[in-house]
Amino acid sequence: MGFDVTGFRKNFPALNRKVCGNPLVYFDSAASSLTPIAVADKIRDFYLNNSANVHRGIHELSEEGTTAFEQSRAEIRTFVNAPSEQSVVLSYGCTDSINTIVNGFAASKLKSADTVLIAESEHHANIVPWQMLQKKIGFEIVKIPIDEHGRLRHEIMSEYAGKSIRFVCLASHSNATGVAHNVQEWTQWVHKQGGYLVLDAAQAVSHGAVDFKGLGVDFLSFSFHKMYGPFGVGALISKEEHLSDFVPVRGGGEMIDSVRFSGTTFAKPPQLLEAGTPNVAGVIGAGESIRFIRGFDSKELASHESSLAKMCREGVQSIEGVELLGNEDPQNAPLVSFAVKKCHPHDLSTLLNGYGIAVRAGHHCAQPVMDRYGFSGTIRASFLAYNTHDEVSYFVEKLKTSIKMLRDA
Amino acid sequence: MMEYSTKLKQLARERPGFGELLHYDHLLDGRNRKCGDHLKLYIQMHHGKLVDIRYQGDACALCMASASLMIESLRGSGLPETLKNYTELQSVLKGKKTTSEFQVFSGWAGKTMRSGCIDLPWKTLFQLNEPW
Repeated sequence: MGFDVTGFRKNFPALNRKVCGNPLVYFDSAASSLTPIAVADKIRDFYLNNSANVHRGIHELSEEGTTAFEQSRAEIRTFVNAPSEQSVVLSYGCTDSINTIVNGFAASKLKSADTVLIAESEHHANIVPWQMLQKKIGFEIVKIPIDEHGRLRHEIMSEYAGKSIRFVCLASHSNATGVAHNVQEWTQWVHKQGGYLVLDAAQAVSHGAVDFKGLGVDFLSFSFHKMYGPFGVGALISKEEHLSDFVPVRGGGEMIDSVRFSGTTFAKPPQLLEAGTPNVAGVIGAGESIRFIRGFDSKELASHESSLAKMCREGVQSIEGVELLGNEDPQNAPLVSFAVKKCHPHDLSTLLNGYGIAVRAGHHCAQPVMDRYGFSGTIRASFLAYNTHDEVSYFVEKLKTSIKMLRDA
Repeated sequence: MMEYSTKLKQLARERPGFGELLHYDHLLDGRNRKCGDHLKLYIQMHHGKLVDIRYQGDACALCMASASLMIESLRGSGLPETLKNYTELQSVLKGKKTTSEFQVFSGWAGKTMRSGCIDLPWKTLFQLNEPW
């Protein structure tokens, strides 16, 4: 029996609501996924029946909260095949994780003569923190160009081999084009150069297994709001051998060993990098989002999502004046990103909203990608397992109507 | 309801005031950081009066229509009248009914993101740090 999308959809009450009088068609999951009942219930239950802070209190509520909090860390470790629970740093999201890698690890490794390679397809979260550090240290940032199909160009490997490459930063899948990158190839290459690979897996975690140890990358970051979890929670996964090289990037509670006015000593990672009161309910909800995903066959979910993207791409590319980004590789993230001649993405998105369809319009926090293809922005339709083929048909039909409305003005 | 009225679509298509001024005293750049849309305003002044203004850019229909209406409202107007017009536009975006040309944007009252599109030409204009 195939994937039961009707049954799966019952987990998401938001799918029952109407927008502008029409049933909601939610095609913005690459920005944030809808939340299943189980995750919302877990967070609600924590706030209504516990709410105590973790890691400090001796009383029962604190013990319960701490246990649930640390269970989430254990779930994350298993989910991404991290080497240990110590290698799982809980953060406030993917951007926060990358900032911690840059300022807590890379800052002490980089010198002015070094080079950091960043994929042209990267989103701002994996560009800007490096640029901010560059201002302090003065190293070189070089982009890894992408070709017309969104693939990373490999020529730069031979051009920069033997030079002082310290970091390669890329996403497993571009959030603007959906294109999957060959992470293992880049990891092997940067390791030969004596450098590190920083992988942004924000667009990967909800669509299939991410295998940290199997990929061999040095660092991995992601957020939970793109994988059925709450906002404001993410994770940084580090190879164990790098943990002792981290320095704290924020000071305060949780990350200390002992504090005196004469000086402070610090806890070891992951607590070293988790200063302040954590988002306890969010982390517990994040653990539940993993349990939710594990309740289904990940290959079935991914196959369904991939077929939605394929159908959408075929429907959209048949429309006159449409320019698609990326390519048709089934390994890509399930999203379709495109521009339409003489139709601004914001105007199209507004008209589609009138039919109950939620898509993303704009530069998707990846302006270099837009510059590369000469667009100020695109429409991005992105899918998760709760979407249906009927919704895709409806979307393509209403897209055609909206384009006609704007062109016939 | 968010609506692309005939008037609005006409403004976005015909773009009154769109183009470059060969002789200008001020070139102002405006950018919507949330979407990447951008506008350029070319302004020619003479003895403290705004003589001519045109715009160029890559932006959505709302922003283009707003830029055109702004430019129409600026012709022959001084700063006090311009500020009054801007207040009128803001009232429309807060849901107030007016008899002004800006009523064309009434469907976007309370829509924060799209109000930013409508606001961009004006925010760009107000970078001009001299009265007229």
